[in-house]
Amino acid sequence: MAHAVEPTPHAEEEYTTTGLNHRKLLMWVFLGSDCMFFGALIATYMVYRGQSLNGPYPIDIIDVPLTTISTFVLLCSSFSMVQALSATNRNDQKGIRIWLMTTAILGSIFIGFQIFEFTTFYKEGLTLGVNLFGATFFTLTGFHGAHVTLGIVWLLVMFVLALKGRLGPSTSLDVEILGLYWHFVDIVWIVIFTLLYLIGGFDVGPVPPSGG
Amino acid sequence: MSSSHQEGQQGHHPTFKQYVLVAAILFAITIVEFILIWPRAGIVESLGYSKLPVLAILSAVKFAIVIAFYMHLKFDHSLFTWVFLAGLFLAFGVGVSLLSLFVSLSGQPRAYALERAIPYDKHAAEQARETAKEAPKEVLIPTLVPTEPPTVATPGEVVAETPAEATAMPTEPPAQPSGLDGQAIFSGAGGCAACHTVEGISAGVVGPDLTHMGTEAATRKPGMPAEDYIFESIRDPQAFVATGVDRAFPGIMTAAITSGLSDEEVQALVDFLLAQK
Repeated sequence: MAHAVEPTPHAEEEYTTTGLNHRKLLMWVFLGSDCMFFGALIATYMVYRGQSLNGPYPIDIIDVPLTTISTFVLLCSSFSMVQALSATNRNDQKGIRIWLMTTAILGSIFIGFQIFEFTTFYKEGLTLGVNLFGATFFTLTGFHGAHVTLGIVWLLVMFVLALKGRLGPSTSLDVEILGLYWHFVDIVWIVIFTLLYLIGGFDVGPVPPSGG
Repeated sequence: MSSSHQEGQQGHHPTFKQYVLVAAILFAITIVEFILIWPRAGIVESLGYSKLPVLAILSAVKFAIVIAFYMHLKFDHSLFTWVFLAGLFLAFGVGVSLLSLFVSLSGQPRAYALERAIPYDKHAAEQARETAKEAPKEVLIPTLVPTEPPTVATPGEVVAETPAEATAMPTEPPAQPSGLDGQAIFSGAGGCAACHTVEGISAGVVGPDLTHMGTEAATRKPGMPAEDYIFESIRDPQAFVATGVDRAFPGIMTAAITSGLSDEEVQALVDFLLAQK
């Protein structure tokens, strides 16, 4: 674990008591608090898991293969995000634009998958109010989708800045902080995908309390 | 990538090749996870109860790889790691505590949770599932269009039999023929069918059985006609709770739940329930 003080590649680096850039530290604190936000929603889903008394149940509608594909898309977008940061560090203007745009497009594809999924679920009868599964599922994945959407907007803003040639080694921290947010959205999805799809996606209706 | 030595100056950021390797590992783990749980692969049965820890470990590895390499925590100051892990562990701890309130370590529901649980009626649940499958759109998607035709899949015989009886009852003539279909509201927009059973129409197990509401309503509240009683019970459900009604979930059936219905719609429901002898 490197304990060296963050190297200061740009001249305008301000003095801070921690020796670390405060914007970056703030981002990490925010991500830590966002963990608690998603932790609450995930815990709620897990507590109510299998408690729905009427359908549709996960096994009726959850499409694991389709969501595996959208998970791959999101993983790819994380890869293109690190490439965007790498291009920024070496002042590769064309690379910055290409990789930022690629990340935004991959994120949009993921959102497209989610819109398709939500629409299908709604047509199958799963709404926010029909049962506990619907309520907890839509709240959790919906808030994740909102995070991704915000990330796409942020990516597009950075893309416009890149078009103006304002991104480069001296402003690489801007891209890095965006990257942190984007990867965070990715790791939240890793958890959601495992719990709601791989583990919970095959849940059937209410099971009688066995009592041993 | 010839530029990797330039990145080296910036810190210890991984090279392009290392990023590709990280992505490949993440992909591989996801594929393994998918194969593990996909029923047609045939592995999930042999996993049994080890499915959960195996998947948890695999996704934790993915999680760790992303934060260590993509988010540079491995190469950054440890304070970043600590502020993030503090939030992560706090979230994890709260989640586990919440779960352990309801489920014991052995996977059994807690005794006190079981005592308050709704008695599980296998037959009713299966029936509810069948109805949901037969007419998912009509039954489950709330629609506020009052002129919606009666749900197609619900048996018509029950309703077909009753009008003759209903008109024969001198005490409760249908007050105002509003033209609204009470059964459609019951199964559709009103959302009643999700919790209440009316034999042959719905099989909800959360709320009281309403199969014989038309008969029972007259005897519930002394001095109150059946029609008024049902109307009050829909508009203000907590006004009077019949003895023997299981309060497994107090606070579910409140005035708020029916506040979206117009008086005409409630009246249509009353007429429909009066016909359930």
